[in-house]
Amino acid sequence: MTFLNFVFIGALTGLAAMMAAVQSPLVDPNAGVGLELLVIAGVVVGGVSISGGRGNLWGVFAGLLLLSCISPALTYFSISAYWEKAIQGGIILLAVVADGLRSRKNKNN
Amino acid sequence: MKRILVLLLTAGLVLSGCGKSDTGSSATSTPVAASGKKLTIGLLPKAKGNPYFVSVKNGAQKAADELGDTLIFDGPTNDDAAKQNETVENWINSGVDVIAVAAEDENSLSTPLRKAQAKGIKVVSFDADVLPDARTFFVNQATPQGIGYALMDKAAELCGKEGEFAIITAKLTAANQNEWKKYIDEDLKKNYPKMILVDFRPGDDDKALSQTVATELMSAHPNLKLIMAISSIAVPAAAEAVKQAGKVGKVNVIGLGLPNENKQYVHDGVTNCVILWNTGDLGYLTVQAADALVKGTLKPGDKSFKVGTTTYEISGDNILLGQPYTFEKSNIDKFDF
Amino acid sequence: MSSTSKSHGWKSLLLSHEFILFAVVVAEWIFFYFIATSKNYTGHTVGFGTMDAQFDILRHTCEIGLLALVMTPIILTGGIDLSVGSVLGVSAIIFGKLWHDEHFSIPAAICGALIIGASAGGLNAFLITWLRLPPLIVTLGTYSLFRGLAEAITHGSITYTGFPDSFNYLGQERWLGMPAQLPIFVIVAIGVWLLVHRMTFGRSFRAIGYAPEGARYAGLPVERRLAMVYVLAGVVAALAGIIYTARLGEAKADSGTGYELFAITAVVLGGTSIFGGVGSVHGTLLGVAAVAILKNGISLAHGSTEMADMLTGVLLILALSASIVPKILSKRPARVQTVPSTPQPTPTT
Repeated sequence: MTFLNFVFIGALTGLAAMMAAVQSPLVDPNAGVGLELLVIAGVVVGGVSISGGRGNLWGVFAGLLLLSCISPALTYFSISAYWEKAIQGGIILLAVVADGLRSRKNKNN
Repeated sequence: MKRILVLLLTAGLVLSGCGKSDTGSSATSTPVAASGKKLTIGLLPKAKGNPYFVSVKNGAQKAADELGDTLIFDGPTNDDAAKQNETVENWINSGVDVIAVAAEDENSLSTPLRKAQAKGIKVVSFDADVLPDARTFFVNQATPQGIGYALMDKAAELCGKEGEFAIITAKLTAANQNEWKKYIDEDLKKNYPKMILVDFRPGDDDKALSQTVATELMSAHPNLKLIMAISSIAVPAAAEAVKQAGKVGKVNVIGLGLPNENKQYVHDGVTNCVILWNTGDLGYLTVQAADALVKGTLKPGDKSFKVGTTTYEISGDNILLGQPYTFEKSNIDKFDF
Repeated sequence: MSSTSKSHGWKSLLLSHEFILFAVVVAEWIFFYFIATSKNYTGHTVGFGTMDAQFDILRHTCEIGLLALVMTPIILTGGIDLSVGSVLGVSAIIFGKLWHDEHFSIPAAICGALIIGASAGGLNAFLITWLRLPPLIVTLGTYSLFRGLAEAITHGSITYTGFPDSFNYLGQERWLGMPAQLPIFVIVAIGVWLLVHRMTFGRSFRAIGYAPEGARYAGLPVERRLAMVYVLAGVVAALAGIIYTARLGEAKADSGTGYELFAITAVVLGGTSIFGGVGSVHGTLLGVAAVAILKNGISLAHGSTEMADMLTGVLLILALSASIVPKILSKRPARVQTVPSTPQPTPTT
């Protein structure tokens, strides 16, 4: 089952690569560098439990949306780009802390 | 457990003994005449995958082949100052004759370059300079003032000398881009009071990021008239962003880009022009200068440098390739790099 | 693959992960010695076989080595710390800022940087032990946060340089014939090794990695131990940041980018299981050596960076697969000589 999961992920990654490639006629050998950590962050912010067993795709979608809109927001407000990583990290930590506090409350109840 | 330690220690001692061969045991020094010597030249780009530097390397390889030298082209795969340092240090230890660098970071790269010079290895820089005491010559494609003014003047011409425009650069720490920006600002303040620079954002020499930044700039500033991309990767990326946003004709694109990458955008009218220099010639001149420096035909204090039939002017310690060239619809097809 | 199990004879020693890795490191060294050493036209030896090259390999590897060392106990406990590279970066920037803008002396600025490192590690420790949050995500968040802080403090473009020669000496010169940063690395290496292999702390890390709940029931102060390793990681990352700054002669916001993945690679290569409970510090050191010799050897042989990166990946996959081989071998059924006395009835389906 795990085997098939990884095969599936590979296939979806190929699809994503095609979608990225058609964005522009030039292909970048460094495409996708650093993307894996951003994806994991988006998934966890979206409520999927890191130890497994809990989570849904709507949450993932919301999480990715939240993290992706930091950069356009900064451009819109003409805030310097160098704040992006700090805000990104802050959101990830807030999400995971909120999640941890919530599950603690549930455990105690 | 203890046995592993003992093994490791003994092996370590044995191996360290093996490494102590600093001075050659057999001194078969047959000094070859300087002009017939086959030199090893190390060419260090900011990033190996950047098409700009690949085109520089093509010119460099041509020169190396003509001179009979060995060219090593290696470095980080994306902008990474520490990796540049490590590559230089390894080259020093592997006995190259001359090192030619385009510095991602002028301060940190100067450190190992000084070491190289102390060991008798010649150093030249190209495209992006290091600190002057860390190299003998800087092969400059054009004066930063020339580049900055050419860009700003063209931008003003396209916007009718008024309106909003934005600049996309490489990394914010890149010294050569910041130098060009300085002159863009100077020209802007002096000559175009009605033009407003709304933003200056990094694209990090990353195609996807540069395209995203261009799209965001257009959404955030609906009155934007022009995007100026001073990183060669950002020029086609910005053009693609304008095309996909459907703002061809409303938002102009200019920048420092390679003709081949921008040909279709120039023909489609998305990009008005790209300003650059012949990158192959830059590489060619760099290797020629490196070779001449080692062989003594090029010396500090020279006022000009002759390569074949072309004479290049030397201003101080800058070997000048020439003036920036504007590639537009009428002439871009004549070039292939 | 436990190296702490008593070596029952030479056979288990030779088949242990660490020894095979040691053989690989030696093989790499010999390979590059022959491939990347040559004589230049004046008769001098240049390349991999020179002392200078060996020392420079050590110099290039010190910071990564420190991060890998301190990552070992963390991974042993079943956790991970993705933020060590970013802590390196923000500590380097704080060091530069304190010295350059606030005019601290170098030793005072170093202390400031170490305190920042400890605080960063402390934040990780607090979130992981007190709020019981998963280390992967917490450190993923702090990986962005600390790097972001470093970039914010410098406005993305400022770098601090111009440190006094006495400071740059640490990263660039030789002390008593060896690279100046080497003694620091050796001291930390010995310290971490003693911590993991000779103190009770070390055994508790493995216990926590194997079964955190069981460790808790056994009376181990799990939270305190975990907090300790994460704070330690922060301090050592800050130390690595200072050495990095001395080596480059400059404090930059992107210092140490990507180093955490290199450190994890070295740790896993060295035989530490990513799930925790199994592993060794000397394994990690061998892992660091294996990757460093590979990368620098290829560079000294005038090869290309991409080849080095690819081979590192291959090496890691081989190492991970190799650790499975003994398990497969041990599962093979023993051959039993039996002579059936009477024919067994065959089941009908």
